[in-house]
Amino acid sequence: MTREIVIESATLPLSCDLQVAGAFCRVSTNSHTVRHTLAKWQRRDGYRPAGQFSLQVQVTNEKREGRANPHFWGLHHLVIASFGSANMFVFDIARRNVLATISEEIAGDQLFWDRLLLPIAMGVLGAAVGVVPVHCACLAIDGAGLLIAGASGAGKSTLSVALARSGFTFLSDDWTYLSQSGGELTAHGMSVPAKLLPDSERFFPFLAGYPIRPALNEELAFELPTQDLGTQVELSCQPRWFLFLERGAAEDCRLDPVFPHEARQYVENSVERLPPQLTDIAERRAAIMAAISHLSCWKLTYDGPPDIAVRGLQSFLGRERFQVSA
Amino acid sequence: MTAIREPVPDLLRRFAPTPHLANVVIEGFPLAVQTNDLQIITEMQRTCAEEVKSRSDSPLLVRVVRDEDAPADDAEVVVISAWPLLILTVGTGTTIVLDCERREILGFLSLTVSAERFAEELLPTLLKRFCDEAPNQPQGTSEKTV
Repeated sequence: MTREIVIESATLPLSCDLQVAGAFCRVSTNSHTVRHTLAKWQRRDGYRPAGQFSLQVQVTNEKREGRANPHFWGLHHLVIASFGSANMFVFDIARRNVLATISEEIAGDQLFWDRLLLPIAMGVLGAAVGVVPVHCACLAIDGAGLLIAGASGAGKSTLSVALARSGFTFLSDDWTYLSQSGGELTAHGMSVPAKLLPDSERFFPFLAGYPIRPALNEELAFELPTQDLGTQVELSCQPRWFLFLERGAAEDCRLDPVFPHEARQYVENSVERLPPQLTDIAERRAAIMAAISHLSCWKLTYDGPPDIAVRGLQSFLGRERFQVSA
Repeated sequence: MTAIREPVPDLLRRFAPTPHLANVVIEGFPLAVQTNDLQIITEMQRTCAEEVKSRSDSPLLVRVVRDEDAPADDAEVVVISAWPLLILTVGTGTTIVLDCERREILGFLSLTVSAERFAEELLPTLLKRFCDEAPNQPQGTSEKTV
């Protein structure tokens, strides 16, 4: 037996406008639950997006099924994500559109939308809407952004939280979304909680008050909501520095210049290869990646507690900003 | 600089090779088939043998990947009509999408869907729907895109 579902404007009478990491998203749905769950992403006045996409969500009552392990496929301009037989998303990159049929359980699952679906949407559609997701943290001081990249386990999140607790503005500790307008780069965060591994409690004793839980990637971690960081949290800033974090052998902090081609190789290797059907989108993405690699790029090497790197960075950034203002 | 990492692997199977090729006619549509499963070519050629006449000179591209890692559940067939896409799913592990504007059929099949079922049931279901829907829809750009 074949079941039929029709998705068209008449079946999706409700709508709302979201701002997601530099993009504008028009949501059409048949579900008040979806609109309510996405309310925290509602577009604010004065928001200037890099690009836009649409999200068509049909909630079906045929199956009462929650979230299952995801399975992803991609061919040509389409990417398909399945979270169980009742929950399927089709990302049409060429048309900048997402089609979804989901269960009522998923419609109201805040964690699913905030931590999985919207970040995945930006990961898949980002390049088509002029936003490049880069695997790096982002903090800012006086509006000037600091991107911090590094291999897994290098300590991006630990350093990000240490910087936030010493007064830096926090945007992201894991993925940052970069757009370009009028030759100027903008970094965007998604206000996702900072994820700290259990051993970081030795640097941040206050974490004892937080539970250790499996994160979405099944790794055991503290998840620290951004409002608990004790600093200002912003959704965007103008990045000026790109740091590559490495652990050193001694308890000190060093900053050495990095060539743009090395920075570019890092960024290119952190994004997915696109198929030939999306050449124009790949070219737009390459232009943003080139701009990222022309930020002031440095290798930050330190060992020991993150305070060592915080002091080293404060001193370095003070000199850099003095040089610019002079 | 050790921070430079290896390129992201092809987690979406976007670049899965599809070395087996065939040109067939099914439900009156000329199809240029690309797949990694030789059995699919065999079954489509068998189905094609009964066809008489093609509706069009311009073939639809059919690119189908047999995904051995896909969830091997079997469930009802669901057809989602969202112009210009027609999407057919069988459980969690099989999804086939017909992009009516681009004239492409792209899909992944789990091990539970046989080549015979694909050629004789699933593909004809999509093609019949294409015949039903295409004349009623605006050509060129979709009304639903941003």
